[in-house]
Amino acid sequence: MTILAIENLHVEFSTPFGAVYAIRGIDFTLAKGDILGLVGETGCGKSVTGRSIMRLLDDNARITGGRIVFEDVDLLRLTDADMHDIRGNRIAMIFQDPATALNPLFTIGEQIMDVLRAHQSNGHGGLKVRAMRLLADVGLPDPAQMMNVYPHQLSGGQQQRAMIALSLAADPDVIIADEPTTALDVTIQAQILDLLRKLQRERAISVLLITHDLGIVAETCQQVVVLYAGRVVEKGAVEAIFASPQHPYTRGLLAALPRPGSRGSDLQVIAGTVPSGLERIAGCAFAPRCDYVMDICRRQQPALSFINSAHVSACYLHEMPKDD
Amino acid sequence: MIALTFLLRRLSLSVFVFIGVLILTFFVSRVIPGNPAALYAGARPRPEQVAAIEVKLGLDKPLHEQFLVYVGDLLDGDLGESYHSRRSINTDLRIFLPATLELVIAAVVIALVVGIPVGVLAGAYPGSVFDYATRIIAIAGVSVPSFWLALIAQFVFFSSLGWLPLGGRISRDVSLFYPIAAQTGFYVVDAALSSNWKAFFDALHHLILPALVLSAYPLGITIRMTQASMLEVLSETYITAARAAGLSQRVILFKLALKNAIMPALTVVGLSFAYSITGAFLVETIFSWPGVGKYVTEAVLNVDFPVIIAVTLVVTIVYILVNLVVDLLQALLDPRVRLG
Amino acid sequence: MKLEVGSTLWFLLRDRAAVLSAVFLVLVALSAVFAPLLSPYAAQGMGEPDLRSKFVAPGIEHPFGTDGLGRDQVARLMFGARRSLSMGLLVVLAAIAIGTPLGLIAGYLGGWVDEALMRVTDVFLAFPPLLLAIAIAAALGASYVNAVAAIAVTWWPWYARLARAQTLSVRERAYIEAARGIGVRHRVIMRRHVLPNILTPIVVQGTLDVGTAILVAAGLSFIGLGTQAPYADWGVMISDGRLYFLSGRWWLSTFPGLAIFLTAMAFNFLGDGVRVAADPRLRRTL
Repeated sequence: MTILAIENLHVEFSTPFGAVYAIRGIDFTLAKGDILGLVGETGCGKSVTGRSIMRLLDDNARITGGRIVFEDVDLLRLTDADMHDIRGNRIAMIFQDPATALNPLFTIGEQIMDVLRAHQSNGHGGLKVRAMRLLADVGLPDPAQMMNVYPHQLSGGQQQRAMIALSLAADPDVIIADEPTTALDVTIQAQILDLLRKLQRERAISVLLITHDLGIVAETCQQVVVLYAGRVVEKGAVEAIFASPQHPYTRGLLAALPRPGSRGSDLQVIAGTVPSGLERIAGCAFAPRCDYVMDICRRQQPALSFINSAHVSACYLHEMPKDD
Repeated sequence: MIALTFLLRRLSLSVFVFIGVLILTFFVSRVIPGNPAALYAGARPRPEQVAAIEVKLGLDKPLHEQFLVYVGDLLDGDLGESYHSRRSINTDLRIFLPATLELVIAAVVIALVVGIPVGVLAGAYPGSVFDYATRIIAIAGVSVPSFWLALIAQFVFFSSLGWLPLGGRISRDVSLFYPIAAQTGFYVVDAALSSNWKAFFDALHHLILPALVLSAYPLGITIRMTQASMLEVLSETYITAARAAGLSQRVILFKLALKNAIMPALTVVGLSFAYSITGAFLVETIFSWPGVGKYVTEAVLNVDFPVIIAVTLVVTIVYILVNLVVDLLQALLDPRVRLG
Repeated sequence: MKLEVGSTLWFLLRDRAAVLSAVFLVLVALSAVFAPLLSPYAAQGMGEPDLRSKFVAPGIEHPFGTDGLGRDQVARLMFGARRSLSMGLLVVLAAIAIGTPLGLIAGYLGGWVDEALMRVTDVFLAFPPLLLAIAIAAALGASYVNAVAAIAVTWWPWYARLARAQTLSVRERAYIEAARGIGVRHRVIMRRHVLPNILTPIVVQGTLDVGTAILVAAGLSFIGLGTQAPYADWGVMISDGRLYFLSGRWWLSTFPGLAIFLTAMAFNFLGDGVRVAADPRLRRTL
């Protein structure tokens, strides 16, 4: 069952150099209880998508088209007050760098209790008891003492756990996790991802996991959406895509993954950079960097087409008859 | 432990600056003037006066010994005497300094009480009409010459409206029939302490206009700094996180952001104090306010150099202490400094 | 402050207050420069009395009235502008001339030289503004030049700190490392490579400080430590008119005060505009 559907979303930024087309029509759906990985390089629009869902874009950004449907309601059509009731309560968010996402001048306890108070959510016990239970749920040791601690007194991993506790305070249905492990050490990364999986299992929370790291997707997600220059280039079940990536961009990303036994020099890097988004692109946005580029790629944008029932991709290559 | 290290470091900085201030004022009073003794003796001195001062200041000795004499006198608490009035500067300052501090503190309080909330709101709603209006007020505040504003204020509130007195600290009949028992030297405080309400309201009445005029510049500074720091805080991730967690705008602005914005804004307390002092030096004469500002401007007219140097030194020491207190207060409020 | 000249200008030109301020300042400067040609009462502007026309209220002949010595106040104001504007400008120029080399050397050499300079600036900035300038001006003796010198001596630490900060950011750049690597002498590197790269923000900051400098200089003149008779700057004019202000001759102090107020305001609007235009995070407030 779908809990969140992004339909033909368009987002623009106004800059002194003109409009930047950050999101150019993307579609995907998050199924209830799933973890969906939203993948791409810096600037592909994955964070903007997350912020669009929360309606927390910067002042110079504008959603110019599309729908964001959460449980049959288009979030983009809600009043500010109604959207306010969604945030934290139904959809919560965690951030890349917990050190900057937690307020430095308030204790962890105060920050969690603020959220509890804002939502007056039902639960057993007083605010303090519930806050401590949340801290225990995310695996922080000695919750009673954690309540009175300031963010800078915690390690990065502990900070991210506290941030997750904060996002869980109002018992949301969806969590948008924007690069939740990028700022952390590798060993801590694994622990935080474990925690997310545990929450997904035990609380039936759906997670939109925004990341640039396909390795994390492979470990954590059921579904994956690959973004390039504000468009979906490939999406589907994780196993299907990892087994046979169709889009040259996805293949490039996969080839850039370090594998056990490979040395640094074996890693492949995709040459070139992501387009700026300042100009409207006629054909496939990846064409300038693509090894298999054809004439048609530069003229006309490829549509998403089915590879199989669990896998779609936007590339002319797989429409060609295969030689082998 | 860490708090103690911070305290010691901050204290030693103040001591260092204090020594520097001593050296610099020594330079200004003994090295810059062509003939310090003549300058100290005031307008048209007699030669034997100049000679006597030369001996008293030790001007015949090498500079480093002169400096020791200079510092020695100060450590004895002796600021010298006015060669114009022949009065001890210590005695004069004991009367004039509280008058100025009362005025300056009133101006700082006005600047902070009005400036911080206004700055917070302006920073919270960038691009709004309120933001633009605030910007104009803040810029006007730091652009208006205080001594001119004082004249205009007298014209409006005394001459035209007749609401407030022209100047002075207290009406003569009130001071005769309801004398204030001096304790702190702040009339408003002393009158309140002795429940002398007649004098209290009269003193307050006299305080309003000069304090308002003095508050213009620090008000402008306070608004601008609070607004800028609010704007910066609101772009922080933890504010986005608070919005994403569904906290209300009221909690975000006046609880979360304000506490973060007030940290840098606290430095405006020190600045406000400094600029109010500067203002006091220019407007006290206009308001016949018997403080150090009027004392100095009269000293300038009478070429009474010892007074100028003594006041510079004493007021600067007060300012150093204010800055020290502000810094320690800031440290006390910030858990990152306090604990680690 | 890092300046991207192109985009800063783009944003600045959209700031109507800043553009208006710039136009106003140009007009004030022109009227000061061409005062002898523009005013029919040029001699009075320089201080010559005309006892037949004392205390004339503003009218067609004298738009801003005349003072107790019968001098046309428009002329006084235009000639006063020469003093007031030049004082502000000279203060800033002198302060930059002292502060920039010191800050540059401190930032470039680092170590104890840097530490020493920073502590010296601490001491200067420990005085409430104006206070030290009053003491120095009094020690030097009251005059226009001494007032400028006194204020400049209390202002240079701001530019020293700015120059130091800029030098620190420039110092590690590749071309300077390269110059050092091939054995170019320190003095040459500082003058040829560092100085040109730190000058833009200093000059911009200096331009914007002129308004405050005019305000401070007017303050010194007001208490008698600046421009001396028969000449007058705007601060002196306010001081001269003060005694008559509440007894009906309101025009004497009003117009010079407005002149200072509007000029300082124009500089501050311009400064605010540049600050906002140069800082991408603040731009959205436009």
